[in-house]
Amino acid sequence: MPTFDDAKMRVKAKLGTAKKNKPVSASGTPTQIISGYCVLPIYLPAPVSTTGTSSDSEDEGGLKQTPVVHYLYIRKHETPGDNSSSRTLFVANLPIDATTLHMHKLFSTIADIAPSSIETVTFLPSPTGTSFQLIPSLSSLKGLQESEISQIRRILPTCSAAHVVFTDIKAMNKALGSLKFQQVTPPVWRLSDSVEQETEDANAMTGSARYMAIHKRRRISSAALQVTVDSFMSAYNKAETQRERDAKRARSMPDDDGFVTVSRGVGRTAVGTSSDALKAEAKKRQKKGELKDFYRFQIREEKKTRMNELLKNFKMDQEKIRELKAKRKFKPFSSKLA
Amino acid sequence: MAKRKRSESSSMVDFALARERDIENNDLNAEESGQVDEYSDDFDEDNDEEGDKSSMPESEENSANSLLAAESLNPGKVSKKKLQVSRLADDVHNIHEAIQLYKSNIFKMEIDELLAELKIDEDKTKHVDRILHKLKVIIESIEDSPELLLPDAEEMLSKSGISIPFPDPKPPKDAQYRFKYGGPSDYNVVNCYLLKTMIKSPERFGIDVVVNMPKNIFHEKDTLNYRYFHKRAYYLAYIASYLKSQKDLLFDMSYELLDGDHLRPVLRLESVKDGGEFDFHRAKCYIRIIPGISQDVFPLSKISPSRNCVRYSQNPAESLKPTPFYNSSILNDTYFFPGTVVLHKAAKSCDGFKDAMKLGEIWLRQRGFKSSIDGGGFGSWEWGMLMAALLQGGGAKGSRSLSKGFSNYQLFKATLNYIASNDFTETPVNTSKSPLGFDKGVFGGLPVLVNNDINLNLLYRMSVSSYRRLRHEASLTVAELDDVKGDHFDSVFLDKVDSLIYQYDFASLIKFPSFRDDKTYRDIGRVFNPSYYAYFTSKVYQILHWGLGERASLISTKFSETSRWPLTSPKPSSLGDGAFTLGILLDPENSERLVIHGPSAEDKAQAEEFRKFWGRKSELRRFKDGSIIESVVWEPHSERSIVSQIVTYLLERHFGEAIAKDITFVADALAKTFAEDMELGDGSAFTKFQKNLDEFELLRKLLIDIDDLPLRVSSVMPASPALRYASIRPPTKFSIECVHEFSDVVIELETSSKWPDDLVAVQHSKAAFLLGIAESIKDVDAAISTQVGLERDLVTIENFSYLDILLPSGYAFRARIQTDRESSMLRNYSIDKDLGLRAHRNLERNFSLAARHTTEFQTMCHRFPFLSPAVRRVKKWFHSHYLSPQVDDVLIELITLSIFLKPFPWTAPANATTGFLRTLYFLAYWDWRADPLILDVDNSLTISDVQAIRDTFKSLRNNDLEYSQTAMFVAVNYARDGTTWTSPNPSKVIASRITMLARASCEVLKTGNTIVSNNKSTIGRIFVSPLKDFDFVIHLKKVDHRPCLDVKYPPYDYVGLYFNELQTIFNGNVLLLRNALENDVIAGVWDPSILKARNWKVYLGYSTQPSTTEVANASDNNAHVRANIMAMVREMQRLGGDLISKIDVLK
Repeated sequence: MPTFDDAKMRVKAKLGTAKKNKPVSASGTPTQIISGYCVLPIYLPAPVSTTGTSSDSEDEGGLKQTPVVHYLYIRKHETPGDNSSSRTLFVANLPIDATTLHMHKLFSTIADIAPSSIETVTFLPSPTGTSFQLIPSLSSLKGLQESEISQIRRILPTCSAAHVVFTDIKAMNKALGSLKFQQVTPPVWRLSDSVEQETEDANAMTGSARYMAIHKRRRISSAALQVTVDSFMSAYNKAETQRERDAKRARSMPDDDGFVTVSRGVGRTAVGTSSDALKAEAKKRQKKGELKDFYRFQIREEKKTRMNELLKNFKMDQEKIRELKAKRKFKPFSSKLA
Repeated sequence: MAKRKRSESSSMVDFALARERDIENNDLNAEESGQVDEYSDDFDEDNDEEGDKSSMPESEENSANSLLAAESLNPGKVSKKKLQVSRLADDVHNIHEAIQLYKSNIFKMEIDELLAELKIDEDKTKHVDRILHKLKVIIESIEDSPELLLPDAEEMLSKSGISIPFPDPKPPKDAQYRFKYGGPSDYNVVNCYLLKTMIKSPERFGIDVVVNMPKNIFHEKDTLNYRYFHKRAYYLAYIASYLKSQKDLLFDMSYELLDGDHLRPVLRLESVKDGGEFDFHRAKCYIRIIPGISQDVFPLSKISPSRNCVRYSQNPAESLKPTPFYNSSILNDTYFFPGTVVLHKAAKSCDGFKDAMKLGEIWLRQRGFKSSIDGGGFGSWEWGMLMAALLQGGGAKGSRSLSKGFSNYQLFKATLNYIASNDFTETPVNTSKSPLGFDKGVFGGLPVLVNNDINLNLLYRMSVSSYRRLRHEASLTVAELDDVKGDHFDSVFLDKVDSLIYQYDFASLIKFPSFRDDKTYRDIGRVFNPSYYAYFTSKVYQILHWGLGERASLISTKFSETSRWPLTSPKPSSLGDGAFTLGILLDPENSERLVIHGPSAEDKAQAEEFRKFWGRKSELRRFKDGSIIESVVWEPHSERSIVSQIVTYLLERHFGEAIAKDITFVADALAKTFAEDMELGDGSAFTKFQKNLDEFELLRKLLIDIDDLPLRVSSVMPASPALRYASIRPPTKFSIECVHEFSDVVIELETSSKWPDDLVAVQHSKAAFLLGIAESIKDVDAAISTQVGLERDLVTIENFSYLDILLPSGYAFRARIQTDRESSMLRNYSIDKDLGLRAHRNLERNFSLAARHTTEFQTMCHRFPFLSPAVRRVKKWFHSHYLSPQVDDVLIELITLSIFLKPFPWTAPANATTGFLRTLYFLAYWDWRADPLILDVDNSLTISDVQAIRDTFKSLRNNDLEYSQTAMFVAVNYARDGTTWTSPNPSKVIASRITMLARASCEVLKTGNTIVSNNKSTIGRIFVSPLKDFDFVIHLKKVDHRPCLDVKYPPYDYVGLYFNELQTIFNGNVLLLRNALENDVIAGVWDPSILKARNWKVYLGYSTQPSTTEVANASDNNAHVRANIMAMVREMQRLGGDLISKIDVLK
């Protein structure tokens, strides 16, 4: 099953305590290319806290210590007529916990590119992922106390992609060049080479710490919520008033051809809605309706439709019985309890 | 040769029927012209219920004619159309008939199918006719034996290896009467084989051959002291020995009891499979040779049920009681052929009769009734006799209760109705021409049905218990048939009803004591009830009936006797498995009462009787109203219900300690498992719910009274399982020790037109209102703490805010606001229609419908006292199979409720364990693909409502043949769309898994067919889902909830949050399951489609790896990739961090 050289993986032992990875030059083998994308295998280590605390339980098996290979698909980003694109790499199939810092570290490892050479990393919204957000975003909250502001690492839906924009074409080409050939050992997906540093970094926060932080974020103080709501509402009202004013102006202003568009007022809807009115009208109409059994042909028609209805039901019933029979339903002694 | 065979076989029947024709001719003028009484009116009413339909028949035909006319005007196509037309006319006729004579069209078709299924293949029985004829010739050729005294007779037969099947008590060795065999005066095939009313079933059917013993072998006094039966036994043994001596006759012969009657053995002939002349094993039947007598052998008055025929006491001073059972057994021996004639006549005069007999038989069999004593003494023969009687009379002033024009279904239903609404013990049914020749009291509470002139009570083999059960089942079925809204065909005819596990609220298995130790039985008891098992169970019934009083609505005692033994050995005294089952239906209102009120102390005689009955348990007590009465007081016990205490005590007191010690309580281990579960077994759970509800009332008043907000709170509605007696854990006070479940409530504000037109703004305004409410609450009572919370990101069209309110009493609630405009705004959300609809569904589920359901379910829990404990047990089951996230609480509640609302063919459970078992049983066999579940909580749905729901279901299925949107469909009065709580979860996969798990659980629960296993570790298995079923399993650590001191940061279900994140991240690629109660694992199953290799594209929706290592060409656009399972699991692990102890990847 593994697409990777198994022997090589076995050589690679503990990842959490692995020695500092020097930027490795590419081996001689060219990289696998799929639909124009360079395939970059990376090691996905187990979370730091787990490997750190339970180094003695290696034999537990499971997934803990086994190196797991994840695959990134990278190519040059090209959009006709866009200058910046020429120094942008498109990276697909990111791990769910990818951050800008992860990307910095990755390129520094594979191509020795300094973080300063990367201008921006933009994570793209996945068209297949849901937009359902469980965590109130920091940007939508106002008036938070100092103690309430805590960073929560952003998690991407599976199979997300990013644009990595380099400061210049040279840096990008260097990165791209390093992708052409396979690495001796796949780079490790992490923020930092030192375990301690990684644990402290808020961006790496996982597990209970993460969920504690989310829990706290969701239970903000009344004061902060008040500020948030007030600021939203005043902005909303301002926008509303502006919209109303525009609409009013539009109503009184003749357009280019000198016509005034007649539009509905912005007044509140009255007690009765339009649908109520429709219903009432329909009712009225029904009451006034013609006599249904006045003419002979009406009676005949009525009978005919009823008759047909009956026959239709009969046919349906027959159909149902046939189905039930096919399911061997009418066997009284093959019952479930018998 | 073949031709001859046929003529032979038909002559066989002819000769039986020729006699019958004579009788018929004699009776020809006796045909009554009485009118059909109220039961036929009943059917007219039935038709009326169908609304317009009943008024239709006439117009139907007219229109059919006009249709015909219209079509025949079209000359070109006549020939082709004619066929269609005649078919159309046939259809019209069928519909017409079905509506008039049956419950509905479909019901008629179902009955037709069933009857076709029950039909015996007559080709296979033709061969048997020939054998029967041959047998007649052989028996008639047996030569008379000399008159012998007992020892000589026994010796003669023992030479040919035959033992005489004497009933108990056996004849004394020095008996002075002589035994003799004489050529039979008559030889006849009788009963079902002659009438052709037997039904196809896994059991082989019996062909009854009656050999009438000649008068000359009997003495006038042979009716006394078993002499008749002893001579009868000799006669049978003599035939057996002769048949055995026939070289070319090869039958597998044994003795058996006729319908379990210990006085009357018969000879059973089974086919041997040698392919020879007498091999009839293909016919799936056996032959019974029954010795009978004609009615002129004994003076009938001597064996009338009110006479004594057994001198059981030598004391001349003692007046001997009548021996109705004994006498009826002799009378029955004279009635084989006349009885068959009665049935045959009825079948000839009434077209539907034979089919109605078959319907009756199938109905009876599914309920465990047969003609034999252990089958309750009411089988197809009795059923047919009752129908025949009702065709003659039975109604008011001797009018007929059934009409000859009835369809088979009408006959069936009217007969059931007659059973249900008439008490044959109080008013015996007598359709003979003369008044009853005996007092109904001689049968001691047994039903009486007489349709003959010889005073034979056709129901003499029944017991009080079986008769009550028969009436109970009949009235249940009548209620089902009267229900025009549902099609109950399955539960009436197809489902096995007789089940100790599912049918009763209390069930147990009790060992019989040895009859040798029972002196009363041996001395006197067996005179009145020869079967020891029947004798003993009827005594148990009496005691329990008296002792349980109104706690029990039905007490059923059942035993089974195999009743066969070899020709070489004498009749054994008892022939069963040595145990009987006791099933009790409880009255939920009374079953758990602690005190039994007896007679007043002043009433000496009654008080004495009461004391004698209850023994040491009885005590004199003074009650609050000042009365001093005899009473019995029971202690509530966590593992033993009051009823089981009473049963155990009474059995011990009246039948000895040994019996009481050896009672096996059905589902006992299961009940104990529940009882040991701290959360479920807590007896005070109901009061805890009540406390929470009381506190909710306080909160409601508090919120309603707030008057310093722009809008007033118009209503506060409960919307949580904890507020409808349905949460597994009863609500507790808020604690910082563990994760607390806040009880959800929904606040409705008074209507206003001032809400913003934008959904996000509405949500923010709601948050502002919650803040205002919190502020006001603080002003009212500073002891109440509140905390706002956010459910999701604020940029949303859905509700994001809630308010936790912790009352001083410690009960905590979570309030959300519902506005009247939100619903329509979401439905018309034009920016993202799907999102809007999804949000709208969430709104209904979590707000308006949650509140509605909560109130309705509260009412149901009061109506069915055992609904609440049952539903909590069922939820426990769902949780332990890791289905928590996939199955909505409300869905489980509705399914369990359906067991109580539609218990057919049983009654609503009056015991939590029974409710649980029945729900599992329902889940195991519910064909959710084809059957919608429709609940009517207050009986307010009309037929057209139900039809409308069915149509919704049908169109839903037609639009989604793969069940990808909706698997289970559950509609209830307040959510008629049927999918509110079932779509998108549980998905088809989960629904199938539920079915599978429920079936497995049902299998585990039963050992054999009757009883729930009492092995605790076995029972434990139904709450364990094997983890190996999953692709991977994430084992979780027990999370240490950091101490939080107040309502601001209460302990939280972090795993739940982690779980939700995983679901969002891996949306659709993996099915995740967990047990929200235990939080021990998260189990996952990959969507199988992602495991296949696919063409690469950027957004495939899941993490991938190249499926080959070959370095592919850059232009290769068909490069294949497949899901990178290990990497995705690692991602989960990285996110879960310290929550996880280990991950097993199993596949």
